[in-house]
Amino acid sequence: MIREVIGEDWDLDQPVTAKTSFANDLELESIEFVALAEKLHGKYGSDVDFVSWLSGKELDQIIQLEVGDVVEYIDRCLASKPTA
Amino acid sequence: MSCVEANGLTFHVQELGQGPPVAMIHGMFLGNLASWYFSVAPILAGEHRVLMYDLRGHGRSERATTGYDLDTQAADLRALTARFDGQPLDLVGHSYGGLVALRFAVDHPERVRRLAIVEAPLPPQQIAENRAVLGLHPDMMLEVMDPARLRAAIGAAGHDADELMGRLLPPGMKDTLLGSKRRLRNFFRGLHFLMTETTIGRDVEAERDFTSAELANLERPVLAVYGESSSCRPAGDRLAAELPQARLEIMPCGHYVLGERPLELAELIRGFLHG
Repeated sequence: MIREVIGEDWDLDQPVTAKTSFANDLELESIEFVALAEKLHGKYGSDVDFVSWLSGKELDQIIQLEVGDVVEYIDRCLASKPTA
Repeated sequence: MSCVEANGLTFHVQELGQGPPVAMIHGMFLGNLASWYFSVAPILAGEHRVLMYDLRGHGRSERATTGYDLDTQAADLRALTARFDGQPLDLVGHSYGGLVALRFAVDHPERVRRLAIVEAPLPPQQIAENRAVLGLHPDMMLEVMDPARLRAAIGAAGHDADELMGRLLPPGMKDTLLGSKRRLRNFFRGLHFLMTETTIGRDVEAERDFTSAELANLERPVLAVYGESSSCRPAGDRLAAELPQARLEIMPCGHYVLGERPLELAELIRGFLHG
């Protein structure tokens, strides 16, 4: 998913791990965060409100975000989802 | 990615939320729909269906070489909001995006319910933040991908690099860009395209100002938000004086209110659209 967001610019020689930083390691642009949000919405629907979660953060917090933070957030959303 | 054909071009659009429609328009040169997407839009999306799009030539919309005048961009907005089936819209625009919204509202008042204008310059050329961009030599942008070399090149062109970057870029964005060669390169690539391959500079220079009669005839509630230290601030005074239903709010920041005061701005706009 992350590779799709970055597209042809993908030149990371390290594997993506929980400690990979979106802004520092992947060097994501703001418009690519939008694409990521769109893809997460496409996959998880309204169960995972990535946009609201991000919008509650300061810019420097967003810069520090690691892949593991987003995974943890998704896990939390899915865990709190009432089971039918 | 969500792409839409409108007014002869392919636009990147995003929607959030459900409810009465709002279209949000970002500023030219530095902006894209992410400017609204991660600031005000999520808060409005609690009560509204929020449409955002990348202006022509910006973000991931098609690289148009012409049509950066307000008439054409208001026609873009009209085509992109056709999806709302003639429902009156709320419009929110920052900087030049505020002028696109104002042009649309003046020409099609029947399509507009309320209008929030954030830091739109009047006359359209009157914006030091844009002038700083237009004054840069385009080649400087492409060649210089390294922050240290960029600083040196800006200095060689007779500018104080920190002062210029500070004026040019929203707070936070400067460090974000300088912290990544990829972001810096893509950012300057985008600017370089706009300034060397499009009519954007000429279109801005040739743009006519809004007349007092146009403003006086706009019988719609308008919220005008300006930063107290912005070069656009006098435009807020003019809107407040000449629009029949305008409210002026001055915030303790500069031109990039979205980046500097996102939560206060969001609450202000949410309250205004609610009222």
